[in-house]
Amino acid sequence: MNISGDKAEDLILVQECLNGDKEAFNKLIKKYELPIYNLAFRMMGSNEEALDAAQESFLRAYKALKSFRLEYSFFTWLYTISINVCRNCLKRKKILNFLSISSSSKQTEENNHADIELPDNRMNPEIIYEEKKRSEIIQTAIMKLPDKYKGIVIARYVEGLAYEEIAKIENIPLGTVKTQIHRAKKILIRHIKNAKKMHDDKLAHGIMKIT
Amino acid sequence: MKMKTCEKIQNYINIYYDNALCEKEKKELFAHIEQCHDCKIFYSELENIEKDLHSLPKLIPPSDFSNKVMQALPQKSPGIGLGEKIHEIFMSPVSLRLNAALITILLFFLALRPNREVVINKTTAIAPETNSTNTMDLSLGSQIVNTKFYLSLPLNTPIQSVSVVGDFNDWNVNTFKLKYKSDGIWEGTFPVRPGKHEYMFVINGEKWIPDPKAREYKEDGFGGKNSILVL
Repeated sequence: MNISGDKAEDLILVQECLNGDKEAFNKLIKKYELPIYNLAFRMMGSNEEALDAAQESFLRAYKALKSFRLEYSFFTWLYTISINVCRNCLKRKKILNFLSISSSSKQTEENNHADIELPDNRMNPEIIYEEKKRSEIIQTAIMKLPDKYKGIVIARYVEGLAYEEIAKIENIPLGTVKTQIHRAKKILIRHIKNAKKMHDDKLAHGIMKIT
Repeated sequence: MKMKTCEKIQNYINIYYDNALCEKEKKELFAHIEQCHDCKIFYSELENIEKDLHSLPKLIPPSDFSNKVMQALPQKSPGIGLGEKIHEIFMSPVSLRLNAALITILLFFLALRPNREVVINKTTAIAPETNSTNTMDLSLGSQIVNTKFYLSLPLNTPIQSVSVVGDFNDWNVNTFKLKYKSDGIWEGTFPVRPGKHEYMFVINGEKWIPDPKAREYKEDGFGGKNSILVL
């Protein structure tokens, strides 16, 4: 994504924003809304929260635009802000859940994955259902990861970023990124194994809720 | 002996999926998993998780997303004020000679101005009954204000790290880390630009708390509050 021409284009757009041209920022949003929304969705787990977090990421970036430095790539910088915004939201969610004053968090559970859309033109409904179930299981497993691993795993697997770039985003050494991803994968394997077992048990007992 | 080999091989398996294993190591890896059941299972589990993660579908944000963000943008342009411009010149490596002259001039002004110290009493969110002090040492006169953050935490709480995050460091937990001083007091001095900033403290990299006795707060849009610091 960060080829040099792209980087130069971003720098020009940033400069135009700083000169007061809001339309330039609109271009930056359109260019990066896909990775930022996907990051937010995978971190937060619901469409509604993902939209809030993605919007907040862009707003923070806009307000902090003057602190953007030429030596960064705009995407890396934005992604860093967004991971931190999402982590911030997750902390609050935990506190709210803990105080159980949040009715919206329960709603969130139900809304989970409601917006995952899979290509359905070439498959039969059963396969679509199984595929959907599978990506739900993976998403749930990601949600169960410790917060510090979530962003890294998403950056690596959903966005396909290089370890070096993740190290920059997280401001941690390259070796630490690798170790954390290895650890996160072990945790994911455990969660997915459990979830698949539960899923299969339910299917076997015929109590699967058909939605 | 077996344990040691398996440990090494499992490490190889991780590196294999990072695409960073050399041919010789690959050979060793595949020879081993033909004989070792545990390592073979580990290999196929990792293979599956890689597949699963890569197969996650990309989600498309609603088409009105950018419009909504644009509507929520503040009226004020994020453009560079005079202060920041001077700062930009300072940070730019191409104008070092000019910088030297500017530093001299600024140091002169700095010497003329008295240092100010603002002391704010605070209570932490962890222990509302414990009073702690947060002192901000403001050395005005340059474009960067070295700001001292203090946080006093109860001694019986296990704390490995305290950091301060805010718009001044893009809410990155890893940049402004406080150091433990004594008696439960954590402190650190960090460069912050003059202006209005939102910030929070992060304990053990996990627990985010506002400064309950900061002079100002702002709703952060997520049902919580950020503390406000004005320099």
